[in-house]
Amino acid sequence: MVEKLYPYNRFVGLDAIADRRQMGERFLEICEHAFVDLRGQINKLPGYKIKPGLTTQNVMYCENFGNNVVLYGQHNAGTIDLKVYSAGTTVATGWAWGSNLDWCQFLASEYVFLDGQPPYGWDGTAWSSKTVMFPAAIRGPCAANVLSRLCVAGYAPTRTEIAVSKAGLADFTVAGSGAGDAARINIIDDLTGKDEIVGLGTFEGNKLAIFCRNETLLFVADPNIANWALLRDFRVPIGTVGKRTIKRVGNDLFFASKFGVHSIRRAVNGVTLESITFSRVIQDIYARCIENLHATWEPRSVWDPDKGQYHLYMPQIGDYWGRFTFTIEPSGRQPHLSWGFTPNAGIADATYFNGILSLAVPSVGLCDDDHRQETDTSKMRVRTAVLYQGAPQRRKNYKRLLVRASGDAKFRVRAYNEDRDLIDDDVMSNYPDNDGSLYTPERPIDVPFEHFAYGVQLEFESEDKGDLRIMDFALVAEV
Amino acid sequence: MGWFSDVTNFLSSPGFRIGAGVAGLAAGAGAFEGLGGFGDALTYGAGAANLVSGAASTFGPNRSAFDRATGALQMGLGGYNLFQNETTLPFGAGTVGGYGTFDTVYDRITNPDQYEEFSFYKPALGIGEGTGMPSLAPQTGGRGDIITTTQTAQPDVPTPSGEDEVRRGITGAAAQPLPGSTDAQATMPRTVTATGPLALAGGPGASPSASPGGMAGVPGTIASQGGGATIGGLPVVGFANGQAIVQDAAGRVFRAAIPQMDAPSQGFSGFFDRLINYASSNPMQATMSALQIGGMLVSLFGRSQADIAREAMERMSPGSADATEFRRLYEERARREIDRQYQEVRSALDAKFSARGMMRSTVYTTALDQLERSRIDLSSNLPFNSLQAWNQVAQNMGQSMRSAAGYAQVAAPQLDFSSMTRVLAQSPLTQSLAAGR
Repeated sequence: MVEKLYPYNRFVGLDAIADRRQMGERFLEICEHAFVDLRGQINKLPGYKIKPGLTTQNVMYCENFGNNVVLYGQHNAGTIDLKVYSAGTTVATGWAWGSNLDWCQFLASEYVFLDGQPPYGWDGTAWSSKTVMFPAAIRGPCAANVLSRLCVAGYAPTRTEIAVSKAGLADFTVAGSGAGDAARINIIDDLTGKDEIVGLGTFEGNKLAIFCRNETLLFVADPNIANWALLRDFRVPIGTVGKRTIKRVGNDLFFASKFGVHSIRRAVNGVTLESITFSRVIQDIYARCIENLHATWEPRSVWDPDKGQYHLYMPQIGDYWGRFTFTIEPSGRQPHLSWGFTPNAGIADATYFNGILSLAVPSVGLCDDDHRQETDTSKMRVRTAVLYQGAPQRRKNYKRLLVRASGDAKFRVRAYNEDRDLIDDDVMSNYPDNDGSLYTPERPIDVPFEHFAYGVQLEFESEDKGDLRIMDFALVAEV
Repeated sequence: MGWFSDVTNFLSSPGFRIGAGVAGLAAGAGAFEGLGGFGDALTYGAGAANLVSGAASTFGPNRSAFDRATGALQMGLGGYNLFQNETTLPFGAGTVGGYGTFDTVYDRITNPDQYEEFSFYKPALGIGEGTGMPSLAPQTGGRGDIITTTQTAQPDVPTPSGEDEVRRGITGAAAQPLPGSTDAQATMPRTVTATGPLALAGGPGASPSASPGGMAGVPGTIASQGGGATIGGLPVVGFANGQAIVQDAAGRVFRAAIPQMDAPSQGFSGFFDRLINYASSNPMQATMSALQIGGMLVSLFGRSQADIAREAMERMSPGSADATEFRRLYEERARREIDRQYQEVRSALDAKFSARGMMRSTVYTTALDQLERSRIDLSSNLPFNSLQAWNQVAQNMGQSMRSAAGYAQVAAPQLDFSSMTRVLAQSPLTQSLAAGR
């Protein structure tokens, strides 16, 4: 029998559609509170820490308003109070807690939309109810701005109509026929079936993406309202499951549907548009989340360009929030696409601005992401596929486990055999310092791993504060 | 009607000669109606105007001999133009053309002897080409059955060419034999001469012959190849009530019907004699030309300047029948044009907005509203616009109400209504649409 080293690196991420015994060795069966970066290394996601000066509150909504200014919705006796961090300016909206808000910036003001209600606006100094600007007929639940126009849609009873403001003016009054005039556009005739607008987005700066429940259309905007035109040759036969899942990701427009996470983007040829689905590899988990979707809350999302991550927060029955983390590095010949899923991340909403990712954590409040905050109990759990080291039908005599990792978070390694029987609950227990702390490792962790099995699954787990990166590992076995 | 304030000046203006002639022509004989409507009237207007202008110069009061001479020439040239310029004659008569140059015409009028084939009885058409309209202009001969001026008379054929001309004029076909006649007979040249036996059965309108040097319409003698005119061997001493007055050797005078003649006349008066002869003897066969000439004569000789002026003024009034008809046509045509433009713009709007998915947008409804409003505006302005147009046309045409009406009738369908419909394209919306964006 010859001892042989079997290295495992350059991981891909979560695979939820293949059986753990048959999936590729670079895929992960579980990737909770972690992600695989573009180098293929497994990283622990940061925890959260309440923003300075705030006390613990139930916060479920947030949206940035510039550098370190965050507008957020806080629970108040079953209703929503809109607040401004850090000024603290508050307005009691009276809107029911859990309502699905939409946010849109227009002309240096932030507008908060709720179906059937006059939007609130924050102009940088004060909140105000925009009852005049938004007549009762156009108080829709979703909005977007495109080419200096604010668009609102989804209002009753004409839920297929879009109200377009005057160019550069917070005025929806339809009068005259000038290029910059306001307009109403009803797309009911362009829909393939009974549908309604549930979300709006902006694509490439000059296209209004109209998300319905079952399909998505694009309007090419123009400074002249008369020249707006529906893109006839492009239509996504998928709607969105939440207006807050619509996010601009670089030049793409991401959104989540009941079937997965998709992107509307310009094709490589530079001429046509295309929509692609990223979530095939996590289809089963995604479908379970949709099945378990909260009855009234809508999913939200955030794009973190620093890490190249699209986080999708999925409200689940039982009032908890799952989280899909889609890490994408679109550049290069082999773009890196990696999924992670955390069943209960505790985060309801997030917003990014200038390097700061602000999180709405219902149990904590408005938070920053922080690897080192003291109360972070988020548990990273990453489990590999069944690793066979050659022929699956041949039994191996494992000798050692080598791990290259960095960070200051303690972690443990569990081992399962091919039948998911636990064969080692804490491989790291024999590590010299016995704490798993590997802030600046000078050499790989090399621990005994003496088991007989046809194949093994390793599970990396960390509940400690601090960061952690599993770069790669290797098994030494006699085969 | 400011432009009618000075009727006297108006009547004395040179242009009025044409206008009055045309007006009288139309009034007297319905020449333009005979041409198949106002549209045809304008088509023949140039020639007719020239013809009548010449007639006015020739027959009008207080004309000098030179005026009359040049007027006659002008009249002849008018006749020449009338047919030379046109290609299609009314009544399906076919095509007329190929009468040579003005010089030729002039030459033939003034020196008919050089053209033995010259005859007003000769249908002015190219037989064999399916044409069949008689002409006032001299015929160069050639392809038809030539009626010469030097052959012997056939006194029992009072209107030798009329039958053929009827057939040709109506059918436009080449000469066909009459029922009961042979082909040879039909194609044989048939002539009569003034020196032949009396043929007093010339019937109403039998023409006087040429009267060299005499005032046309008041012929003094019958010019013939043989010298002094005679009828039945008696010299003609005058004319009265369409009949010749002859004198026997005893000095008694008798009225005698003027025989049918086709001999070439001499000089200008001969030309007009032939015109009159032709027109009067073939009122139906000659159709237009006969009507024109007849009407012209009736008008010129039967109407005073005051009559003409009054009629012209009446007809140029916006309330006149011509004005009403013009305005009706104008408005009809304009409305049709507006509707057409509206439909075009509407279709373009629908197509573009539909393609853009904007059919149910306020932009579309606003555009449609603007379009509709423009159409209503244009339509509601039509009565006023038609009045303005009538005034403009009448003023521009100036002296002739009938010419104006004729022109307007023809021009109305061709008027450029773009200035009106341009309103439709004034909005930025429509402009952007037109830009194809």
